[in-house]
Amino acid sequence: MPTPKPTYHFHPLGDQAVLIRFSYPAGAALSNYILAVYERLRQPDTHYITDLVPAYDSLTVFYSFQECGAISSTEVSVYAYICNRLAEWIAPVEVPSPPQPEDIIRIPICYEEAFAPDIGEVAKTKHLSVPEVIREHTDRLYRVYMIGFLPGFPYMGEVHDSIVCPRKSKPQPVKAGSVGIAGTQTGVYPLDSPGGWQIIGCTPVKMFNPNQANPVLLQPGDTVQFYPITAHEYHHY
Amino acid sequence: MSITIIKPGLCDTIQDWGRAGFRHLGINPSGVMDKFSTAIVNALAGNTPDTAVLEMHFPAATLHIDQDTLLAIGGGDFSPMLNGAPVPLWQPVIATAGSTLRFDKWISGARTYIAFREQLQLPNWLGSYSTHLKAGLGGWEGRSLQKKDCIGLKYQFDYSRVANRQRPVLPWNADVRRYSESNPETIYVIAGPEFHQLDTTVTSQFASGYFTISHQADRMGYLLQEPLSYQASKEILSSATSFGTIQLLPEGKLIVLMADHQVTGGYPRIAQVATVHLPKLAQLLPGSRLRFQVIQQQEAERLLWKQQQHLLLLQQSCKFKLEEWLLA
Repeated sequence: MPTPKPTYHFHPLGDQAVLIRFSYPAGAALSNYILAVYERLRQPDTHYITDLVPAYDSLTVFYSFQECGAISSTEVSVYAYICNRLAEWIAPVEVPSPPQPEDIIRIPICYEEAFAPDIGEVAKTKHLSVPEVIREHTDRLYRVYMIGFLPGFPYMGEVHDSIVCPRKSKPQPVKAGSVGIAGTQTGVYPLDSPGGWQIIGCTPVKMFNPNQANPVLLQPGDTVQFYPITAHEYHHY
Repeated sequence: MSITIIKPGLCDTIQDWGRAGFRHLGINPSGVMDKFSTAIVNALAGNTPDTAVLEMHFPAATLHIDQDTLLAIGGGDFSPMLNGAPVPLWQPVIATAGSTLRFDKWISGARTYIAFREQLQLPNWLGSYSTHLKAGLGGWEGRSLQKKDCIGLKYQFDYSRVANRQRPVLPWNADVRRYSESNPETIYVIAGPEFHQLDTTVTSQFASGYFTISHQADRMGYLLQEPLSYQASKEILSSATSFGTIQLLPEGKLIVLMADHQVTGGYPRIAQVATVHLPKLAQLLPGSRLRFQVIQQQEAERLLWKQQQHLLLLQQSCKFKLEEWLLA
């Protein structure tokens, strides 16, 4: 029996974007389906779509009001027109079979205190030692669910229950490369920025490199594993 | 041939229509805050609406222009002075080689725009000339303009035959008064994706209250002073945000995201500013009062069509006028 497809609803996000929200528990299965829909909507016949933002349980479609408007005269509104087209395009998209993570992207992290301002506090509140926090953070594969917040910032999940911790109540300055935890998510700051995630390490790998044809290292759907390095290795990476 | 910054302003950046197609990588579009004014000054300068312009806040920069240029200024009124004499907004102006353009006094608005027929010579990053301040990329070296920055001009035209050195202002202007509205405080919004998930006391407060723009107001967003009676009970999953998204923060304050917004956010999106009113919002300063009026999607579309038709007409008229004048 084929896997049932997630149902969805359209919501306007103003007059130039539609939010497609899927009613299905957020997780890898839904994320795979969202990415399949996302790929469909990137085909050339959807040229009036200007931008797409895949997320945990949603996909937001930005469209050119002018371009859609010019061809949608038979329908009630540009919004109705774009929703009808989206429904037609989404209908044939099948739920992809869970892919095997063939390419694991391995990212080195220095978890030493100078690079990890919050690791001691995380260990203390979670009743773990610092090496245990590092082990919990490095012993599993993470899925990149979405990119957002800053250029190339990957939202990855899910971290081990034992190191789940809330955001800080106030954002603090965070260094580029810092690796943080917020709830069940883990992520890497591509740029210096204020941020509210608990910082447990730092990577020398550039998440965002504007001089490259593809300026962003990670893509939604990628599989990532972290491994620990020393400060010396960090500086000589 | 170029434009040189003699004295920098508060935040002068180069922007165009924005960088489309990269939100999925976390790269927000940036772009001008007030597209309406930008389209008009570009039309007056004989450019397409999306041509890169200078966006300036008050106090604005003083510029030295070393070649003959045809420019147009519009948006906020900061009393532009060309070689010491006032020049009007919304009117094409010829600045002869060696001219100095400065802005003397704040009169109205939050941002002013300058379009040059000669067009700014800049490297392109991901299909746009907009400055991405956060990433330090795009526009002019990814930052706001500083003293001695010298931005090249792409084209050179000869106005010696047609220009009148005593009267640098060309004899037509864009009548923007017809676009000014009877309710300058009212901002039209469309209910956001989370609007109906919020308590009706919260949404009715939102739709009936007056709000003041706080001093935390810049190209990224406007934080409003007056909170709604709201306490966040649960976290919501991060999802897309856009220019004009109004987020409800955990303690009940509202933030309106502007041109340099983040591409995603995890706060309820109570509403989205109708595109037709984004330029109006972009010209409001901290301390301004405003209220939100929730309108239907179809009404927002109707108004946007109308605005676009006006702009199209204006562009054609300007083009015709300029061609006629250049050939005279």
